[in-house]
Amino acid sequence: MLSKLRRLPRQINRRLAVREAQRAVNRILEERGPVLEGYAEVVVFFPDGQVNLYQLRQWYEPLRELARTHPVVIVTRVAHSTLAALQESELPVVQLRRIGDYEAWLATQRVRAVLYVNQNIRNFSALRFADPAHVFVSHGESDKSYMASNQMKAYDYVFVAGQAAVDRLSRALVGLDPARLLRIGRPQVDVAHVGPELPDDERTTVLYAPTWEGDRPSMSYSSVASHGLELVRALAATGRHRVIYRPHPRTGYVDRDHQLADRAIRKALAAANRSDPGAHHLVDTGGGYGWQMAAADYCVTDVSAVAFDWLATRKPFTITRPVAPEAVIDPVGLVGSVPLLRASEAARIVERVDSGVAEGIDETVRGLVEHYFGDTSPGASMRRFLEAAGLVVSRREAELLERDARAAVVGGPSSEDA
Amino acid sequence: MGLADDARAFFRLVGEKLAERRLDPLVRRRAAQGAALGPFEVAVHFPDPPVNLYQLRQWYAPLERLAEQHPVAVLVKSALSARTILEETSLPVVLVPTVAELETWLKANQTLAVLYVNQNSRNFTVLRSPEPVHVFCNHGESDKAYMVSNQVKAYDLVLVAGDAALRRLEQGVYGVERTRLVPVGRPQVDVGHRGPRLPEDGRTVVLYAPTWEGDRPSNAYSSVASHGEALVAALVASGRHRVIYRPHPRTGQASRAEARASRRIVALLEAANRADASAGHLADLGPGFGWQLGAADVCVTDVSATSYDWAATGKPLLLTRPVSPEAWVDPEGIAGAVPLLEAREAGDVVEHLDALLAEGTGERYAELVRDHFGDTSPGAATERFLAVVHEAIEERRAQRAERSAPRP
Repeated sequence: MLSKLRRLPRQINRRLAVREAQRAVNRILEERGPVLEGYAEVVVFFPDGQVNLYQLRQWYEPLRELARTHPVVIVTRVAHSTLAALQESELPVVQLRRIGDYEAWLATQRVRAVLYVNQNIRNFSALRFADPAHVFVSHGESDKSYMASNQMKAYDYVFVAGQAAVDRLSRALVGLDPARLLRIGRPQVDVAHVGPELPDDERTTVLYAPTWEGDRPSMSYSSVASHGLELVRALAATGRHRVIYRPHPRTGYVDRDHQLADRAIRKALAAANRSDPGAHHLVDTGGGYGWQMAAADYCVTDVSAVAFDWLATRKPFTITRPVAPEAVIDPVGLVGSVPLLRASEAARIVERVDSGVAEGIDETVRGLVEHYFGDTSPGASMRRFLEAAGLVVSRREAELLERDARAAVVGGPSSEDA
Repeated sequence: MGLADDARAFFRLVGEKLAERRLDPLVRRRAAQGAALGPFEVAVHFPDPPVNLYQLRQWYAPLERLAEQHPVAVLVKSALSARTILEETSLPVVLVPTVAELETWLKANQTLAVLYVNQNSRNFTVLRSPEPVHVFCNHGESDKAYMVSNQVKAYDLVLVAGDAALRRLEQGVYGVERTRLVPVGRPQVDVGHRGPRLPEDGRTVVLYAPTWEGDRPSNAYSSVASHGEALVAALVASGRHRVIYRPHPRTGQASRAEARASRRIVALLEAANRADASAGHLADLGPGFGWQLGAADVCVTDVSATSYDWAATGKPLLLTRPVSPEAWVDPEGIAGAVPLLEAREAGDVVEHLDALLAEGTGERYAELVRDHFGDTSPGAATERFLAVVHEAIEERRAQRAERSAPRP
């Protein structure tokens, strides 16, 4: 009871913040006016709160592209996400609290496809409606079990990255029609992201993007404490490299060593910048994700989703080997196919970067890229996404037209209901 | 919905939570005894509060039969529901308040099939697992929009009543795989029922079994507020009819007006019984459904699962036309084969029923029964249900064995 009382002020604060966000939302919506009847062809259903906004954000660019030919509306439920989507996406946003509100709004539109970026339990209520096609587009590609959920069967189509995902789903699920899986690559990273301007010099830019320490031994993949400092120092010492250090936002949350190591890395980079202002190393803790992929020539990361995002760039990389013996390393898949960097070899990252940049990815990695993402030449993934979405929309439009024609016959004067 | 409604809903919720807590240890012990009987090849997922128990209750008899072949457990989230289920059936009940416990249980039991009797959102979480075959058992058969929910795609198998349901799903749900839809009739009503004894005095027994008001305009099929009072008043006034009023268990949950109308109908019946003790009208709020189908001569109901439950008897049927313009009435369905009673004609119900009883409901209606339920001879639907679930279980068992077998 006491603990509940103690939480009260925080709850009140949260309520106030929600109210404030809602007021801001209402102001913007009033200014922009309602979405016109019959406007939306494609809906993105996003009932989540702030924590999962990153799953929506990565789709903004592909959605903007899609909206040029098929008008897209984002449907949200909570104030904070609505506000973020309104401010960031340039797409119309409709906030609908209850499934009944959503049903009523759908009735004013002719939606051909609804896209889902995660497996929120509320999707199940939205899946009730038979008129639009339901498409699971996910928010990343990895070998995690999340990527092989049996829930995929509930959707009409699943947009997957590549052949690896098709194989994974066919292995794991009984009775999933492979025709419902459309391969689109990773359009979310196949875009020009705006980032900070880096000096255009001869330095090789290395993105070091470690994950956090995790809350279980089996999830402790972070290299911050084991590799981080030595690795960053070695790169900064060459005078030929530029480091973008992007720690996971949760780094140091549960482990003091990681907290200290993270601080030491930041300090080392700051010191290097002081001694050579031209070095321009960067500690990147911003919300924007994507520009780093374009800006960097090489990536050092841990067993994590970042590794897969980077893979799609076809640029060279190194994945660290976690020191915790409990951290599970999948022997098949991406991580099992490339040489991992041990903590004891952290300083040798310089050789890896230099030879990697000189030679590019080898045949094994090229095979992996192809296997996971298909054609990753610039624009190819975006094109496949637009084609797949267009196909779904036009197929459903044809089905709706056919139904309307049938209804016109049934509802004709000869068979009118007495 | 005003502030008062919110407050009422809040207090109801708090009351339920408290009752749930008090109950929990006791039910937990009894559930643990049942769970110890495992492993269970079949799990029935029922995460609902007691108000939805009617959806499960109608499956007790077929599930008890199934349990003779394959061990069946009912997985329940609410201790209140668990207590009632333990009282009403011999099936073991397992209390799994969280999804994590449920997933652990499924794994430990290596459950081969999960059965669902409704479209609770929580099903979606259970559907995550690729291990068991997921089977949706509709709790009714009707023209409600609910029956053409696109959600059926999420399941490996969908048990439907008959050819009519098949067609409806194929037309209404784009791209649904035909092989996943299996007609089994209505095993839920294919059982003998005990009920109260009614006097045999020549009165025409009228079952008035309206549905509830629904939570959306498109689901508003109830006649309680629109037809109910005038209809019941006319029937009790005739002196020739005996009314069994059986409102849907959820009646009045979402609408105060509906709740009030239902109370006034009950009051009308009580007053009529006071005025004439031999009238024997019945306000039937008990859990058992089934005996009414045998006891009544004619039925007045709404576009709902009940109309189809009744249709399986072949006896005359009168349907109400919903007043909500959003409530879709399928002219191809049962509403096209039987007369529809407008709200303004509710007071003329006696003439309508006299005509129906004199002339019968016709060949169109008989054809509809065949189309919807296939073979309705006693026991046929139960046998089909058992055979279909058995086959699905054995197929999944074989697939699992094949997958875990060492590859050459």
